[in-house]
Amino acid sequence: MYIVIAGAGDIGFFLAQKLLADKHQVCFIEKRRDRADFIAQTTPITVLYGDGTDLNVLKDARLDKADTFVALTSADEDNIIACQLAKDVFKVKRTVAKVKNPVNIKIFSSLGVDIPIDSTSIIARIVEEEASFTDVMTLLSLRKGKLSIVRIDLPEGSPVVNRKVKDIKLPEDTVLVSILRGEAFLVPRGDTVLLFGDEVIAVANIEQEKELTRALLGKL
Amino acid sequence: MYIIIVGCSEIGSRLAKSFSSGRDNVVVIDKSRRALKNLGPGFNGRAVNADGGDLGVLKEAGIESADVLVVLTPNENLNLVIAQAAKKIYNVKKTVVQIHNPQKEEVFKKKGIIMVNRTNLFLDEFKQCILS
Repeated sequence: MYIVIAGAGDIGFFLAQKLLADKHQVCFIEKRRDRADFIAQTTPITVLYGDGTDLNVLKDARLDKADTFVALTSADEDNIIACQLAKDVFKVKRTVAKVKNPVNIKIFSSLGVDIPIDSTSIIARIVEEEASFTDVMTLLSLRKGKLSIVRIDLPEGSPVVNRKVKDIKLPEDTVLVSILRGEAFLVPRGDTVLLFGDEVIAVANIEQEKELTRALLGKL
Repeated sequence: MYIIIVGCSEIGSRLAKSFSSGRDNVVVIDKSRRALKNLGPGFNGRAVNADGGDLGVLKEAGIESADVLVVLTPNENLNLVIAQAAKKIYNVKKTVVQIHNPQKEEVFKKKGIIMVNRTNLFLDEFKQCILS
């Protein structure tokens, strides 16, 4: 695939290296002269020195041939406008943009950015989960958070400890996927007995996440 | 009319004063207190010292009942984003923004944004002066 990235900051730089390793073609647009020079001198990636919201620059980047456009500049308004130009003028199918200020996420979606990535909220959520020593952690959210994969660490007082999976009443539309016990990975069967300290991986939809937590932890 | 103006530049402040002296309700928003001083004592409207790029600020300024939103900050991308958000999220009928880059005019005209293009205005003025 051919991917154009506007903004060659740290995220863009690491992303480009990963994409390159996966044999994708990458082109950077960077408006800071020294940063553009640095990328050009230290990597094999094509770099255009210029503004990612300038139609001439986007044209030079052969955006019409791009499968995906990624906007990673430090200004929300520039990322939105760049994605709109990519879509409307160059017919790029998929536009991805970094959201700097989480309050702007609504603007990103309503103005047609396909995938807005709210990095601030993502990091804040992880830090919150790690810092609060919670027994429940969302590992992955799909479909904008409607479906999630969660990890639940079974505490000593959990109502499901020492019970068989088939005897546990789980909310509808939730599935236990795996049990991590020490170094072992177990696939939960009806006869599998849950133990204190097990890390249970489950899939749940957003409405049932709380119920699932209640079923496995007996609180909340 | 209820008019909200974001950006109290020389143009923004003059626009605000001229409309506020009539029957129109005018709110001017600028994050610079100094810029709001451009309004002077003759201004008969509301001046808000806040970031007009923040939807919360626009809401507080009454964007939901505004007839016109004028965005005149020096950042044309920000102007275009504010105007589109006002249209999409708050259904503001008329949004007028200042831009510099003539190429963007084509693209955003299709989205219903009215643009005053400084570059083209100067260009026409210069042409006329040269030819007359």
